[in-house]
Amino acid sequence: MKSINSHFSIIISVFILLFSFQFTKMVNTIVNDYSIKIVNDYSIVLVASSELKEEELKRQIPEIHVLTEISSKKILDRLKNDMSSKNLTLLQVALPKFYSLKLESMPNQKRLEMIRQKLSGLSSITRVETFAKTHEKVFKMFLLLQSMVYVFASFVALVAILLIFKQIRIWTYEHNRRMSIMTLFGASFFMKSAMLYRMTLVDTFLSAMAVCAVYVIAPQLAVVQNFALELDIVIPKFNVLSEGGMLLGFSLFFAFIAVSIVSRKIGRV
Amino acid sequence: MEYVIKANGLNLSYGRDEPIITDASLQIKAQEFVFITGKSGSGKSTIIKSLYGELFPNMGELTVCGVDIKNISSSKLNILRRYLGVVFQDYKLIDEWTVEQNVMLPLIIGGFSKSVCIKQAHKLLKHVKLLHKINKYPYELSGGEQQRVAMARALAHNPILILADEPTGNLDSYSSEVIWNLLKGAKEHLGTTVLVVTHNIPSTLGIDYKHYFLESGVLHEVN
Repeated sequence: MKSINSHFSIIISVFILLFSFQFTKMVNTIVNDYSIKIVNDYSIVLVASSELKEEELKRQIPEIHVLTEISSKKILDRLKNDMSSKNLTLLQVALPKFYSLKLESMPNQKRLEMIRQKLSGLSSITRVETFAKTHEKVFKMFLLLQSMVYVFASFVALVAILLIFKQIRIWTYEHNRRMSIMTLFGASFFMKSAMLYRMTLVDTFLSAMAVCAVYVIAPQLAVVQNFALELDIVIPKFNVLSEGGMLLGFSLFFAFIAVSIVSRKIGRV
Repeated sequence: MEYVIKANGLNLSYGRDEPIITDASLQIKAQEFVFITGKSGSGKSTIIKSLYGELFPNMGELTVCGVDIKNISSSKLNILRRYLGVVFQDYKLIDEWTVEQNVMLPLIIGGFSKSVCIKQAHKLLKHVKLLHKINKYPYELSGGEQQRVAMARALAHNPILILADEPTGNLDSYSSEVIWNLLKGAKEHLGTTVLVVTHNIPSTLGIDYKHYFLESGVLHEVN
């Protein structure tokens, strides 16, 4: 029973630590993906009296991704039945040019205001419409959520680390006698620590595998998929090879450090 | 190597306390059987601890099996301990290991194959008349039985030197007899040097031995 408890306490501690780490990474990816999505959906509408050149605008505002002209053909088509072709031609000449301006990344309110002022300052531009408020609110909510996840995950990781240190103290007490006796008979550092290394490596390996299983299975569950659909987010796929390998590497690193601390604590007899 | 143990002007103390052993000199040749006797608290166990490197001399010279204990490195101390067989007053058996595994400990550390370890453990447990308790754990044995297991462990790897700290201190007459016969046998049949720290030398030992008496931290050779 004591042995099972010892196994579970390290498996659970490392599981929590790895889970919170992977969760933070996942939320970060979701927020980054969402910001790209917002930028793709978002554009500034410009009304200009003459033709605008993308290169010239980019020189003043480096965040510009692409400038696209909005065709006035649709408006003119709707007026076709109500106006003569002569008046329609006159209107076409008199109509200003409309442009859609896409940015590289989603700027904050302050930066957006500066972009708006720079564009308004150009003589050929008569009107600038940013429509940013709704987009920015949603994006700010996501940033807030991301910060909250960071804080929460940090607390959880801290608790897990404290649990690991508590386990190190228990191990020091549990293995002290055996390791001291082995030292008296000339066992080397690795020989007397071997049993603890083996046990810890197996436990942390199991923790890493459990975390991998959670992140592989969870995104496939209907309830998680519906939740993601409602929030209009995409849950990133868990890469077993790179991300799983990294989690395994972390867990083995924790095991090595924890056992080395115990062995050093017991030290030379 | 003429002397298995050689000590000159040896001073031993715990931390910064007053020395427990002062200016001790000790010369033990190979295959000798040596007793160190003295009253409780006279420092007998302290001498044993210095011989297997648990306590380091603060003054004087001390060599065990030709190795200078005073300036020994951790790795060299590990190697030296593999040539020693130590019997402790409190047995020092590993509670979560069986009797068989405990006896196999010095052989495992020495890098012997599993079959050799098992064979040797069985042979020694037969000698100490505990073969039937091979799969028991130390806490399932009496004090006498535990000390016999400890004795089997000390002999398992045919050590050059056996250091025994009060090996029969709290034992019944049967277990004491088994222990003394094993120590005698190690000297006579294996050529092992034996150093025993005890209150009383058994009257029925029947072999030649050297005797040191420890009084107020000073070691005297008794003729």
